Amino acid sequence: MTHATGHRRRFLSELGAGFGSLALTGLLADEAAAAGGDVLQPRPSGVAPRAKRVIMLFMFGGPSHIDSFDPKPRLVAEHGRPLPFAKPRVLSFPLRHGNLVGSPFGFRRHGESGAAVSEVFPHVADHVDDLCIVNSMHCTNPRHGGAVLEWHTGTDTFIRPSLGSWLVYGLGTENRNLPGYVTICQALSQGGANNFSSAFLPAACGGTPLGRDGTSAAEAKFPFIKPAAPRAVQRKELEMIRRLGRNQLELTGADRALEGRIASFELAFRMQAAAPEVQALETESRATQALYGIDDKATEDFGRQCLLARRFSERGVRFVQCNSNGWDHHSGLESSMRNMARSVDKPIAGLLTDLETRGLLDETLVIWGGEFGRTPTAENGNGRDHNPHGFTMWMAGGGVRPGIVHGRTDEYGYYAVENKVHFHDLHATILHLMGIEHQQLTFRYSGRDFRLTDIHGEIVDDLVA
Amino acid sequence: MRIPPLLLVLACGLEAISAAPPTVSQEDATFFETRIRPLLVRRCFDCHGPDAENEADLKLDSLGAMLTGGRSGPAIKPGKPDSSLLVLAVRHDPATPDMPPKTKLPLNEVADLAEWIKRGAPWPGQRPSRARSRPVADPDAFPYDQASKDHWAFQPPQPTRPPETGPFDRIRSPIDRFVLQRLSAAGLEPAPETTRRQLVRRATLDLHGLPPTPRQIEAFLADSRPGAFARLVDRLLASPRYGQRYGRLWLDVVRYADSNGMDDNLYYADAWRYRDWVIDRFNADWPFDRFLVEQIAGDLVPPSPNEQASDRHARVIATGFLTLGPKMLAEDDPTKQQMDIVDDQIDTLGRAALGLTLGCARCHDHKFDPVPTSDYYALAGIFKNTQVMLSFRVDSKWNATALGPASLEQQLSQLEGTIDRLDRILVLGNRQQMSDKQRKAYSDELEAARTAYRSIPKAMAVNDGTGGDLEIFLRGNHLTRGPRVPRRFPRIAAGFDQPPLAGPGSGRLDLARWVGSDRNPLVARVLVNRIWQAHFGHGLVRSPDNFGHLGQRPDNQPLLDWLALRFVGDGWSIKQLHRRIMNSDAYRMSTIAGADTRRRASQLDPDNRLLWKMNRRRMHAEVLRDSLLALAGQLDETMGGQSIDARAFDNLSGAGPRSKIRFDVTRRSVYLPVLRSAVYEVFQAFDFPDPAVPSGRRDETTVAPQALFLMNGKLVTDSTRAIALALQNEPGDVARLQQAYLRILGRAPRPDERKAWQSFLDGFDDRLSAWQSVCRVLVSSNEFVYIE
Repeated sequence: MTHATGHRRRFLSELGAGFGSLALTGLLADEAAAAGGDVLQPRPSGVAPRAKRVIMLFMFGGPSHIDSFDPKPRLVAEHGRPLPFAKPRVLSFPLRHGNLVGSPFGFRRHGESGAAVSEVFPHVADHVDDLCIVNSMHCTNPRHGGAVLEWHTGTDTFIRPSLGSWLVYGLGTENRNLPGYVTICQALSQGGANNFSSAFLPAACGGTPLGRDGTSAAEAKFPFIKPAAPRAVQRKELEMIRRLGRNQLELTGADRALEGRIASFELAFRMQAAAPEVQALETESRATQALYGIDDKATEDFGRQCLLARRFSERGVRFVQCNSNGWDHHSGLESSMRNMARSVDKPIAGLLTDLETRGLLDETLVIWGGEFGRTPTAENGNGRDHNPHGFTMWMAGGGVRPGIVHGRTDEYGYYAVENKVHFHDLHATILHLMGIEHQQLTFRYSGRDFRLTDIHGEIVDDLVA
Repeated sequence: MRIPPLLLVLACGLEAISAAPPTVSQEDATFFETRIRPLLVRRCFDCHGPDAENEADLKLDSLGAMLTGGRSGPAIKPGKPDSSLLVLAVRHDPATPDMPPKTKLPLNEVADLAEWIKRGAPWPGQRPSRARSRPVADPDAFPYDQASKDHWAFQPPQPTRPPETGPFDRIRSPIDRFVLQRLSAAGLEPAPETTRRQLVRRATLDLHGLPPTPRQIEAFLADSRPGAFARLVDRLLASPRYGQRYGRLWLDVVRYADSNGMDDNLYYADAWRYRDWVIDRFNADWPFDRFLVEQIAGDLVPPSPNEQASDRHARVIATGFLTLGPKMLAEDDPTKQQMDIVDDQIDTLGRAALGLTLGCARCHDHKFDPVPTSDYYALAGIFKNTQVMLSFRVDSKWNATALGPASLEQQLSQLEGTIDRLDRILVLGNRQQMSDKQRKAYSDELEAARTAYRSIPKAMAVNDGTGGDLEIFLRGNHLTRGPRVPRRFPRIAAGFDQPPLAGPGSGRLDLARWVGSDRNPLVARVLVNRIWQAHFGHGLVRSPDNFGHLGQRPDNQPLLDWLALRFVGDGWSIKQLHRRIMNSDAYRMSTIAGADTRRRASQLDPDNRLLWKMNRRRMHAEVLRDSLLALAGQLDETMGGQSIDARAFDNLSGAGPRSKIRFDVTRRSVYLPVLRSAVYEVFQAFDFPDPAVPSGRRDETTVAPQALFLMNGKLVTDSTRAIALALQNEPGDVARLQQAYLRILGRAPRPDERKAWQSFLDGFDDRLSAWQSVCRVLVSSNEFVYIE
């Protein structure tokens, strides 16, 4: 791995208190030796951070924007008629495409902002004045694999670090007993681990999976976290590992890799205790559990994810992702969409309420969305196909302008037509809210400086409070 | 409708002359004046008007300007709205920049522009009589200065005599002369020779990826005749375990995996044959030049007299190198899918064999190395004419070649056709229009075809296509084509005066024979450097996959060149190269240098580029796993075969077939499944390389999950328990500790250690768990995990 010096060292020094510090101690020392400087110098503030942590609510599969946050009366009025303009050059399932199909759901305006929300999100609708709804999102790839990677890493062509990894790399993390980036029950398909990997960034910046799709949030565990021996035994073993290590160091002389490795056992030992404590949701009051819908089978799983997210977040984990898997509604949209929305609606609302009550919302950036939206034309009669050309994501919390709807799609909801926001733009905005300029957070790899937004991305000022 | 035929020529960037001045009908004139001209002025002129400047150098103020176009090529193709950049841009097609950038034109205006172009782009008063095309890249141009051509790696290796230098008692091989010369110039002393105990451990872990058994250690220590170490090296190289270790390192370099990754994770059910072929060739010490030629063009190599069918099959299997890369199979744009596959082949070939990042030249002339896009598309022409896939639609299937008589091949292609047809019906077709009965019939037929397909022995391999040159894709975009370039090899390494490729076919065999030869200055150096890195932890060039301007310069180029030339002279024998390196004094150095050297070197050469000591290296993920299994007496050394019990095209990321993927087996790690985007979690924790990209170097990170694995991982729990059980046969605690140390660390415990363990053991009631704890500590120790 190639490592740059300069500003990156300053970023890394922030990691000094973090999960990754051990891996980085060595690098820092190397660089310090090379530069002859003090690696622990504080990082000069760039942009003032508006949020400290991110909770990403990822709706895998591509939730329909025209059935959730982007009502299209004209689409309803022209239900059954052909699309009056050209379809995109590249379509995922051209043979299955039919005519226009209106949303089966009613929309109502909510809150002071008066933003329209579909009937399938009644609880989230109550928070509409906290939301910054972007109805003009777009990306390029019409397939899950490509679009999911585009969202997570900024590219569908190469293996690149994930958004969360860039944030941990840039900001470090606040809890030395937990990973800086946790993803709960994420799918291993469609790019899988590449979506939360550190790629060429230091390994400690990668996402640590807590369970995967298919495991329930209640059973999700970090890899190898379950103790194989009683704690007293492990403590004795740890003592011995330390002792053997010290003996060896007397022979070899100082060696950062060897020292770092001994320290990593100590960290692992602490993490083993810290993780179950975070996951002990039963210590939350009944009322809190109910707030997240944990008392109801339909909402229990995502409710647990959201509550876990809050608990990780308040303990200083920089980036937490909750994953709702199953938004790919190629047919039977009405019932599937209703079920999926139901499973996340109350938990999300609960998370927003809880963060607000605890005074955490101001410093936590909550992001909702999937890899793309869906077509206004029918597929298989009663479903919708993938649509990367126009869809909705929303943000809430730290530094976000609340109660607005930004951008719009055409009257049918096919293309974003006004104030378009590409994933790159939203990435730039997210980094900005976290106190990082996207053009400045770079890493030298394979001979050139890489960044999350590559050569693209513009901060969307309208989204920033 | 009139479509001026010459405009099609214009699109290719050639100058053209119109035959007759086109006239514009009244109707077209009205349409243009009322709908198009105002639109252009209102929507486009801010940036593309007569006085405006923009990044693309595109003006839209005259027909000529549109036909000339900007940097991406002509803006319009009269008569063809769907392939006109202007229309794609206002439609916000992903292939072009969105225009206008953040907002989209009203739909009726988009439709008007398309209609106008469909009518042939009639512009009253203007005619495209002498529309000048932009000066596009000349395929023969070579826009790099002399300094960039003079880069060391592009010059042939220089023959050098090993320098006359001392101290003579540290010279075992010419390699040492090269090393010692640098050291003495810096006033540094080489570290002392390591102990024989360490040496046997180092060599065995290096060549086999397994620690020596106590008996192997004793045998080496007991051999006091001269040449004992050389004999040990020979013995180690003769074992099939050698190919399993070094084959795996080559698999890193060629991004080997058993699934496509990227989107759905479909099973490359026949990739294992390539893996086994690689292991087999390392064991057979196959000459490296042939090894490369066969991977690039084994299907085209003419048969030798008296060869067996299995020899031909082996060469076909070798071309798996070209086809087992990551693929975005759910890609709706067929040209993009094809060109992404070509790019993977060029990138892998460049990094793996030549140490060049050729992939950088896909969208623009390489910024740092003298590789223009014209050289990229010259290679792309070769690979585009190499058949990897049966088609390029979504969920398309990759090509396979039957390993048997022609009749079997025929049977295979029939089945491929059947599977493809049924898949198309079931996946892409409208299932709503099928009756249940119909659908079931299709599904049953598909299942039967897939089962029959599985039963045919076959290789993931390529077919050769017809010859044909390719145009440069401007900015890597297949919708905007530049001039055509002749197929040829990168000029910086192959010369500027290349004879045209002789047909028929893609020219791949010619390419292979050039890559796998000393006619290029890179390939031998790149391989020698990889082997050196495997033994010393760092290559003589520390960027093993990049010998270009942004790679690192060689720490000792005379040595690198000397090794490369000897390697070629030895008939490209990799085993001979191991012998050369390992029989040097440099290889035998301790990781611990004398105090004086350490102090001086920490200032002069903290990175150990001069090689004043051996580098300490952490075990690779597979070495750790295999060693644990071997210590437990559980390692299953069966060679070869399929790793996953599933059928080709099964989706391995779903819940169903994934359960068939077993990592809790006891075979050597090289035989475990390698799933892209879902690498085995133990390997992931220990820096196994991402199998989506060629990787010549493993990271050595230290993260908490590694410690957690050693504390809690099932593999560690099981193997330490097995070792502890075996220790119970020893007569007492003293003997047990002795055995535990000999097996795991290869040495006896020191007195202070004995004492410490005694008190450790005292704290336990249960003897077995106590000894399991001892073993867990020992396999967790730095001494075990690092190769000294």
